[in-house]
Amino acid sequence: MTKIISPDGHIGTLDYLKSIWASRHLAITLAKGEVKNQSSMNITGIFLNIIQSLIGLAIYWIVFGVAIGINTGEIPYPVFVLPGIFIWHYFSAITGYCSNCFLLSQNLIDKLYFPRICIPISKVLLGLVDFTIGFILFVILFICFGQTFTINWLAFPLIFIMIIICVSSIGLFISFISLFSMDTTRIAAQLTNFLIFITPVFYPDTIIPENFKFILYINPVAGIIEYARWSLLGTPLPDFKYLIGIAFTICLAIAVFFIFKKYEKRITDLM
Amino acid sequence: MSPETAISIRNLSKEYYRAEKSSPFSRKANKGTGFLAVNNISLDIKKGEIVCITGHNGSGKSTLLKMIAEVTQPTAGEIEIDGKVASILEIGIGFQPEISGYENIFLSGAMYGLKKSEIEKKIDKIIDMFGFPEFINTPVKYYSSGMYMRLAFSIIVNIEADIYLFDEVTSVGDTEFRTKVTREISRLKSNNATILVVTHTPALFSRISDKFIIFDKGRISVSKSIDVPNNIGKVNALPHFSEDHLANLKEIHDDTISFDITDICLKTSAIDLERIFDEKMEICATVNYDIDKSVLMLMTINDMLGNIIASSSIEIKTGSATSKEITFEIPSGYLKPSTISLGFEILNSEKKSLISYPNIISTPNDNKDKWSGYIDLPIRASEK
Repeated sequence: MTKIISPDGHIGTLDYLKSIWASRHLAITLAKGEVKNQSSMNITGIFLNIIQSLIGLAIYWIVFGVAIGINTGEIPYPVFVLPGIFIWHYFSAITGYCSNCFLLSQNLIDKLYFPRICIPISKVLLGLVDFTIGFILFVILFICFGQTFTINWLAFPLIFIMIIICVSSIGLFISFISLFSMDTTRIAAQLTNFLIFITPVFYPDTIIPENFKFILYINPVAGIIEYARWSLLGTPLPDFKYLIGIAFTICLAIAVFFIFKKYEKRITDLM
Repeated sequence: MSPETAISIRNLSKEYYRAEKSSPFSRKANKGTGFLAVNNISLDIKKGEIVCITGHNGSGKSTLLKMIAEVTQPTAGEIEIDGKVASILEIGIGFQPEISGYENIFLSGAMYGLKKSEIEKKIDKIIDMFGFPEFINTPVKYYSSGMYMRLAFSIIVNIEADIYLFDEVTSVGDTEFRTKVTREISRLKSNNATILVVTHTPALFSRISDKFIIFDKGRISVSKSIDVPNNIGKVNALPHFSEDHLANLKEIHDDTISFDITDICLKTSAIDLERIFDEKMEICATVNYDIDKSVLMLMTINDMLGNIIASSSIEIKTGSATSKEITFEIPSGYLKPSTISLGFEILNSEKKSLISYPNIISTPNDNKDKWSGYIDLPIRASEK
C-alpha cells in the first residue's frame, strides 16, 4: 500500500467517499463522547433537553395558542407546534455547533489526520439526540391528545432523510465558512433568531398572505416542517413550491461535499 | 522507491507565514513574510528502522512529522509512504475529561482508526499496560498527568501499523514512563515497524535508534546511521555526537566564556551495551576553548531525575586549545547496571556554572532492580 503525499493533495471522489465511510465510527464516537461529556457535566443531564422542549412548548402554547389564538384547525396547538419545534431546534442547534466546530477541535485537527468533514458530521449526529427526545415527546403528546395515526406516518422516514440532508448541508457550509471568518458564530446565531419568524414553527403557513409565501418556499426548513406536519398530523399536502427550498439544500449538499473534498488537506493550514 | 524503503522524501518543503497583524474579520492573521519551516529535504527511511530526530524548537522536525502524518500539506516536494501510518503527535489527543478511562479508550482508539471490535479484543491488554485497573472507570479529569499519559500511551502502542510517528512522547512523565516508552518502541521495532521519534532528549533513544537526524532551520544538518559494534576490544560503544548536536544541547549561563565541547564518545571494551557496566569506561570529550581565567570541567553521572550520583572534575588552565581531548575514566565494578546519564558543566573558580551540557548520553537499562541502587560500595552485611 504505497501512498504519495504531494502539494496538490488531490483526492478522487470515490476515494473521498470511501474515506468518509471508513471514518463513520470516528464521527459516531466523537458525537457519543460529547453527549457523555455534556450529560455528565450537568446535574440535569439529558433531562435538560426535555425540560427545555417542554418550557418552549408551554411558552408557544400560551403566547400563540391561547393569547393570540392561532387557528390550527382540529389539531390541538401543542401537538401542531411540536414537530416545528423539534425540527427547528435541530436546525438551529446544528447551525450553532457547526459555526465553531473547527475552532473547538483545532487541537485535534492539528495533531491527527482524519477526514475533516467528520467533525461537522459528528455535530449533525450530536443534534440527533435532542431531535429524538423531541420526537418521543411529540408521540407522547400525540397519544395523550387522542390523535390517530394515519398512513402518512409511513412517509416520515423519507422526511427524516430530507431533514438530515437539509441540516447537514447548511451545517457543513457554515463550518466551512467559519474557517475564514471569526464572525460566523455570531452571524449564524443572529440569523437563526431572525429566521424562526419566517419559518412556520409556531403558526401554520395558511396565515401567511399568498404574495409573501415565496419567503417560505425558498426556506428549506419551512418546507420540511410543512411536509413533517402533513406526514405526522395529516394536514393537507404542502404546495409543491416548497420543493424549491428542498432542491436548494440538495444542491448545497452536493456543492459542500465537493468543497470539502477540494479543501480536505488544506483545512489545518486554513485555521 | 525500493522495496526496503518505508518512507521516501524528495525535495520536501513547507512554507508558513509569520503573522503580522490580526484582522477583526478574519480568523487568520494577515499573511506576513513567508518562511520555510522545512526547506528542501530529501531522506530515505528503511523498513524496520528507528530514526531519532532532534533539533532546536522551530527547526522543522515536528512539521516533517505532520506532513508524513498528512496533518498538513507540503508546499513542495513529495513523500512516498509504504505502509499504514500511526501518528502520535500528542499523547491523550481527543480525550474527553468528563468520561471514564474505559470510555476514553474507545474514543481515542476510534480516532486512531481502530474499530470497536478491535478495541474490545485489546481492552484487557490496554488496561493491563495502563497499570491502574482500579481507576479505569474513573473520569480522566481525576487522573494525575502520569496516569493520563500511561493510558494514552497504552492505547497508542496497541495500534497496528507499519510506521509509527512519535512527537515528544517522553517530554513529560517519570523515569519509569520513559523506560516504558523506549521498551515499547523496541517491541514495535521487533515487529519490523518503522519508527520516527522526534525528541529533545536523544540520549534516551541512543541505544535503540538506527539513525539520528538533527534538524536546523528547516534542513537536515546531520543524518547519521549508528552502527553499534559487536567486536570485542576497545571500541566506541556509543555513537560520536556531532558538533551540531552538542551545540543544540549546550546551555550558556555566561556568554563571556568561549568553551565548546565538539565531540563526545564513550569507549569501553564491553561486548555490547547491555554489559557496559561490567567493564571500564572512558568518556572522551573533545574541546575547543579560549579562556582568560582557569575553569573546572566537571563530568557528572546523573540518575534519570537529574540528581548527581557521582562526579569528577579537571582544571582547564588559562589559554586556548583546539580539538583537545579530555578523558574521564570510570573503573569497572563501581557502577551498577542502571539508567544513568552523563552531563558536563564548565564552572568558574567560585563553582558557578558557566556552561552546561546536560543529559548528553544515557544508558537505559530496562531490567534495573530498583533495590540495587547506582553505586557498588563495599558494604558488608553480617549476622551476629
